[in-house]
Amino acid sequence: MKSRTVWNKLFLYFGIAIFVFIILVPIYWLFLTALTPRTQLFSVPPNYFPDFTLANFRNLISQVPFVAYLTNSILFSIGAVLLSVILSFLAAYGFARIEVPGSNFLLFALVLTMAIPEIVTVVPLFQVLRNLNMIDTIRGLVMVMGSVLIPFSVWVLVTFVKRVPVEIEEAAIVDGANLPQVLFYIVIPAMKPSLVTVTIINFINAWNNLLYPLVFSSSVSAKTLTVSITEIFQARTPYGRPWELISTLGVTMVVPMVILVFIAQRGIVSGLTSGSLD
Amino acid sequence: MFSNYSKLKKYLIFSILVGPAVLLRFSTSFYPIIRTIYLSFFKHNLMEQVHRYVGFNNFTSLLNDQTIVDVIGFTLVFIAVSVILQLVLGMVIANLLNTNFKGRKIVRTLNLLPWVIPVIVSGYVFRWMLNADYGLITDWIFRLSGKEVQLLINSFYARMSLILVNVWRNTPFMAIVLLAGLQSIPDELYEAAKIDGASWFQRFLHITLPASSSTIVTLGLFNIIWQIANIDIILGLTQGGPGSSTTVIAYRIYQLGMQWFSWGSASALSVYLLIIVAVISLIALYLYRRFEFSS
Repeated sequence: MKSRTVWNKLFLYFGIAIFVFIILVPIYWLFLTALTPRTQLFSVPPNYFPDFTLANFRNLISQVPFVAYLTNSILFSIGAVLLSVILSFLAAYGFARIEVPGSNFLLFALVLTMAIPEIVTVVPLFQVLRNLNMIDTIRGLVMVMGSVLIPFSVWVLVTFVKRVPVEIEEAAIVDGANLPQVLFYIVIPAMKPSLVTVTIINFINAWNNLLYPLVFSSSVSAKTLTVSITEIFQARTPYGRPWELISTLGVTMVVPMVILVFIAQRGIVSGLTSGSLD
Repeated sequence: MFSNYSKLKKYLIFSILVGPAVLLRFSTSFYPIIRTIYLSFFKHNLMEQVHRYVGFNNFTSLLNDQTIVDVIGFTLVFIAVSVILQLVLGMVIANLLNTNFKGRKIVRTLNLLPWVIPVIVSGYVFRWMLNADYGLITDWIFRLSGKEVQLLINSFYARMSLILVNVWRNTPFMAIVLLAGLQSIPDELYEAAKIDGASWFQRFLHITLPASSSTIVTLGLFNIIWQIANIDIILGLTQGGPGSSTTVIAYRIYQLGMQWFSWGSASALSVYLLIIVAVISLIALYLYRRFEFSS
């Protein structure tokens, strides 16, 4: 019996080791490539222990308008998050607290729009944005991305609004508070953790989005980091593609996400699976 | 709450709260779909400056094109193989993450990494690792087998690589979803099933799935739909090649619409994609209802 549990333990740790290895190898290789001098990059076999350099970061900043793209990525992500979280919170409160005929069907239709592939909507949205003069603007990108994030946010937040005890709100109304006061002083403080979670998940989704900025932006005024990396990829050098620059830009896109995950792992997981976890 | 308000006032407050979100979402999702269906009946090409009604011509000419038939076929293979692998591996990982061991918290955090890294970046990293001359994985395969392989140049290996990269990126998400399911099930249930001789798959089918909440089942199915619609991974890893062997429907729509400006054909292919997604959504709906009532 005892030897069996030892074997089980060994088997378990072996499985975990393989799992962690598979997850980390590509990430490790991304960081290593970003730190490898260009001259040591194209070698057979690959250079497992290169001299480390930060030259790639300097080259990146001098070859592309990095700061402008980074600013665009940040503005785009924060804008889409604010738009989606504010509208979704109000909608979720309405769905959770007000019983009117047809509201369940409306919520269902809203959640169902999560299934619509973004690629199917880009041609008509391109025409819409062109008519509104919002092609190649952060405003336009924020509008379409914010919209994409709404159904998931509402879906999650409805569950969380329902967990806030309604009696406190009713008591406040009896005492003469109006709806905005109830939302601001009672509901929002009670839902702070779930609002933070939805904010983080939406930020990750917006930060990683490529399709909309790729299709709806054409200049430095709205291109994001995800678009920038596809452009660096197109460049050719005598050796082939500039993998050290691609990796360097990749690292700058990955690092904020890694930090977010390490700060908010529990919140992210419970937000994603709000139906079962507390 | 609001129960003593007049009907009109309730409607008014409901509209003020729900209206903005619903209006923004519907106008940027349902309207484009109607517009796409409309455009699919036209020859509409930006470069040639034409806009002419052609009936079902776009639909039939797409199906007469062997490449498109292959693309649709590969899309179905891509999604079927990806999902089977993700469910099997996701279940294994979920079970690993559900056992008690030192460092479990950090492993659960690491599990999230493939999912939060921009897909386009993962695509490029794997393309670099699979590089025929300087790639890391190419080197490992050479050391292990003595063969020099060019994985992304051969259609079969390129397709396999694409599916595996997709599995790398999406399995963690499935694992989280399945883990949440596992955690909501009492251990005794599993033990009893084991004693009765139920296999791993039977336990999954008859205990894990039904006991997982409808949210979890739905989320898993949405994840499948998102994978059909995602073009980033292909844009990063293979750009649809070699030839069009790793092109899926969504990526072909992107090429037709955004690179070749043939918006009529792109719209018709979009309608085909919507039909596939609708079928999957109906299955999702069926499961959602079923599990909602049973759990």
